[in-house]
Amino acid sequence: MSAFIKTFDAIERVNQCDTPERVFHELLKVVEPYGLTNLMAGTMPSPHDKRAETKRHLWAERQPEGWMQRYLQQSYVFTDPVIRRIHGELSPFRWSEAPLSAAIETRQKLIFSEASEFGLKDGLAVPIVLVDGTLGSVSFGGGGLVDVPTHAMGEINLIAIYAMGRAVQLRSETEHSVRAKLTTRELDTLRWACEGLTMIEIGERLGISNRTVELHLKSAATKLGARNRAHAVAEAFRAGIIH
Amino acid sequence: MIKVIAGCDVGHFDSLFDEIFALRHKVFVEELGWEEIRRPDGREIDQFDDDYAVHHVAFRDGRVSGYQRMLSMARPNLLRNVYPELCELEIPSSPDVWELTRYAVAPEYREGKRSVGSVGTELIAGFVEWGLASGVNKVIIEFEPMWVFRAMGLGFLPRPLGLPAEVGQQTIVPTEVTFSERTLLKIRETMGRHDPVVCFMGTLAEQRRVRLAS
Repeated sequence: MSAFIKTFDAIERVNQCDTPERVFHELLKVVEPYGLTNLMAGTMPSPHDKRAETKRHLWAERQPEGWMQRYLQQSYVFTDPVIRRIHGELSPFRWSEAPLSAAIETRQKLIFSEASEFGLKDGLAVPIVLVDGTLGSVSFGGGGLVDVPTHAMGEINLIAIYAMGRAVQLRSETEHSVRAKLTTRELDTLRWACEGLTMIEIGERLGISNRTVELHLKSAATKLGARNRAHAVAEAFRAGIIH
Repeated sequence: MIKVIAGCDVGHFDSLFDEIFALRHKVFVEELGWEEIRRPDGREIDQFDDDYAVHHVAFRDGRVSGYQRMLSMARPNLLRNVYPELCELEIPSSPDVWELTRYAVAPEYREGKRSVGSVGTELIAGFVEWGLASGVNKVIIEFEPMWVFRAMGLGFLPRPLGLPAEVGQQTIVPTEVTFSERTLLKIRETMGRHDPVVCFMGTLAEQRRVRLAS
């Protein structure tokens, strides 16, 4: 089968997936023959983001047990040579080609050696650019021999871009359907609750009683599948309903 | 606003096209290094700028801020006549599929290095509006692979016609993008404005009047 037909078929399969999880599952099947068994995909967080916000930039991960937790906890995303190279690069590249920066070299070497201990010895990163210029990437890793022939780089690049595009479409469809279920009042109360306002304060802002505010929040929580007010705010954040 | 001008009317807009051909030379020869189309007079004009080409011109403050050129796939075009080896599928040749070439935003109207920006997005809204009004719902573009991702985000349905390949200093992939009214809604949502952007000029305006009247 020609490389193009193989690529075309993989893109068709990705486009037929109905959840982001399936998209990334299909994508991993494409790269596994090259020794790439893991992935992490998302947009670049800003160093000014709080840790909880950093996590929101992560779209998908299939990483060795414990590695993602360690990576997020240590805020490695801001030092990771692979992530830093994405800022200057629009073509796919190997992890080993990501240059170390003199000032933070020790920490960067530590990230690579820890990754290797977790079973990620080498990998391949595919940068993407959103319409507003935001940068993102999908980064594949593997623990054994990673061997990506030059011709396969272009094929993986194209399939990964279609996969990311599909995953984003599916995410925004989910957001829309969740948002559509909430009434304007429920959204308003959620937004103010997330600013830290009390029920009474929210009621004053919206010109309704605190009892009504409570009802709106409770109903929003039910629709979001949340157990209480704090959980509802967290779920609304996660679904991208409030920012 | 995007003015849509048929190739056969170029002679009526002399000074405008002086500005356009200079912009094309500046962007494609001087910035992107396409040496084979360099011209000593700094006016980038090629064999496809015939009577049948359709020019889309964006304006800001009365000046040309962006440009793109549409070529019918039923006539000579870049993919068939210049880069046929890029295409692995049969090259579409029906008159309702057009090729988008020379997409450019003037340097002074760009917003950041990577953002599509307001002129860039308006050009995209422009070709979709033009297409939907002219019976076209597919265009072929030879662009950098990352544009596929942006196209999907704007509600287009892309399909590759070949694999990414190096052309000069760029990597490009020939892609067919399909669009509908829904795509236009999504683009308008992204732009934050919902009024039409295209304005048909000269012969095209006349043809449109006749069609709408009949």
